[in-house]
Amino acid sequence: MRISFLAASLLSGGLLAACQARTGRVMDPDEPVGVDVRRASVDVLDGMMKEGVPLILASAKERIAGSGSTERPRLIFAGVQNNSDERLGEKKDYIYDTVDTLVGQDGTFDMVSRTFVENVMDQMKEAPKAELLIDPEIRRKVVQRFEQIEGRDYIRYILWGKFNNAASDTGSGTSEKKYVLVLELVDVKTGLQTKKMVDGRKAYTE
Amino acid sequence: MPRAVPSLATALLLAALSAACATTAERVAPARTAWERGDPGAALAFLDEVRPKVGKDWPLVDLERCSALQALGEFVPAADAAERAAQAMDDAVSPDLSSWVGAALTDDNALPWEGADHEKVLARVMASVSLLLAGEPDEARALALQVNGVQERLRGRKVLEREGDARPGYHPFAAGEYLRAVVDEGRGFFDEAALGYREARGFGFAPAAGEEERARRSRLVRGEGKGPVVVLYLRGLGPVLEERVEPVTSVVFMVASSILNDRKGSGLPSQAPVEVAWPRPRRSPLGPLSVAAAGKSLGRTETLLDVDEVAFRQAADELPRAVLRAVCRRAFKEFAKNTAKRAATDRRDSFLGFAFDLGGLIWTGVERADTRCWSFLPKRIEVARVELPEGDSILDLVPEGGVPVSLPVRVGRNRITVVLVVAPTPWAPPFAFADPRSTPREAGALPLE
Repeated sequence: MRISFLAASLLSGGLLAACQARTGRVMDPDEPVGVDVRRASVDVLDGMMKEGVPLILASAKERIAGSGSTERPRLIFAGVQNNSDERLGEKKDYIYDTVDTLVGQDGTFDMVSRTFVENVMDQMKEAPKAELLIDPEIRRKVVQRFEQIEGRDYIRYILWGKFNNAASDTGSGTSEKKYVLVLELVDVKTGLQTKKMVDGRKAYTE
Repeated sequence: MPRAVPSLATALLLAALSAACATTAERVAPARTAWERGDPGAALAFLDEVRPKVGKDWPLVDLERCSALQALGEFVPAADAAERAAQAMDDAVSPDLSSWVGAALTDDNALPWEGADHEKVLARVMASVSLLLAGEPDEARALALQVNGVQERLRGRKVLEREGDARPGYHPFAAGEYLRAVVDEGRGFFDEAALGYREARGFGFAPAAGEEERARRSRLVRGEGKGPVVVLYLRGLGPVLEERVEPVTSVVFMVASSILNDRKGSGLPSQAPVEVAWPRPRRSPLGPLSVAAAGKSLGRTETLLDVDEVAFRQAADELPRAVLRAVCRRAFKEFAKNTAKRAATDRRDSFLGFAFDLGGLIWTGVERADTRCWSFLPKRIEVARVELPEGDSILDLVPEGGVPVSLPVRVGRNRITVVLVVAPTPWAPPFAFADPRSTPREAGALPLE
């Protein structure tokens, strides 16, 4: 009897393993977003970007209106610095493209293409990575270079994000993580900076 | 009952056969040989070929692949492989039912490879090192922070397991803090970097170069037109697990008896020695690495992590549990064999009874210790920190007892230059790379002989 049970368990285990073929389907737009079990993903990143970009743009508009300028200022989006304990990997590009597109769609700024920026950095014998503009020293050098190539005040604003998280152990194998996206906009002419922060939370079970 | 006898015989035969199949450690052995002779390309090609054939043990193959990819300068795939493996090892802590049944019928090789504690931590360390060399310092920092998280978790778990026991628990090591401090210093966060180096010192890494002090005066160094260079050196070959005959101590025997006495119908434990996995250090004449430029000696690497030492400590920690599992499994197999034999005796079939005795002997005899381990790990992870004038330099990297190499680097005042030297063998030149921002493009990234 015990042996038959063992054989049946082994057989059903084998069948279950055989049934685990990879599948895929197109999701309806109104279906809830899947939640990543290990790290921040589209589930929290989308919400933070959609909330954070209008906030920083609203501040920027106030500042531009106050300056009395009628021209649309040019902006470089440098990307996101990851200060969290989770590797963003290819999601860095996803964040870049989403924020870059959301800012561009708003129409407040003329966006300078990432490829153009990185080509200029390459010519300067710097690593061609827009993200390096978060470093003040490189930012200064790149802005100067743009002035030499394109004329004075070619670049007026640089925007970047900083992504971070903090975990709380809530006991019994569960933990909660708070994710923070800080968007920083700096006026390269005046050095004045605007910062906006948005957050998202996730609970994880081991 | 008699009808079950043929199916039981088949099950015994299948179990014996599956135990006799090549283990993952044996499948990976040719790649290990290629690595030992300093040929990461051949090792990687073999690992890529074997990966689809090892089933649930793919994380082990991915860790070996990570080391080979590092030596080939493929840093992002190396980090991906190590991170994937690290996550899979976390998940393997709770294996499924079929794995448990498989382990009871055969040996521990049927369980998903969980990896030793130091391998779980080192998977993140190597991912972090790879990302530093890939020019992704943020991502390297994220992995370095995970190292600390995993170490805290392991330390917490060990404390719980060892409650009331005098044996030491998990010993955290300094590599995570050190790598985080390197990134922070590169970003210009000198106070955070100094704090990180101090934490690393708290974990037992106190280099003569005095990183903490140097980070504090980094601003000054930058003012002098110099930039810091950190050389990470993966020296030699780490230990590999091999089978060793281990006596069953009276404590383990008593624990096994109490476990088995609670299970109705289970067999009795025996005090005969069992085979368990035990690390074997691999001898290497390779010593520390001397770093020089323009004929001037700049420094020498110091040990950040002694992989041999942590592997031995881990094995000693794990030994009682491995022996206990082997004793319990042997008792279970004995019980299964005797049940089948009794059924055969009921049928008055003496040949079948003899066959069961023989089958049981083979079944127990082909059992193998779980020797799966990350065999491409270095013997030691060493670091040196030197300072060079801003601009292009040629670094002379001279491993003691090995073949020297030269590496062109471009040092910047406002960042940190990271160099990786992988030297698995003393007979071939080590593989040396600088991070992308510190690699003069016109000179190429490949080391010069």
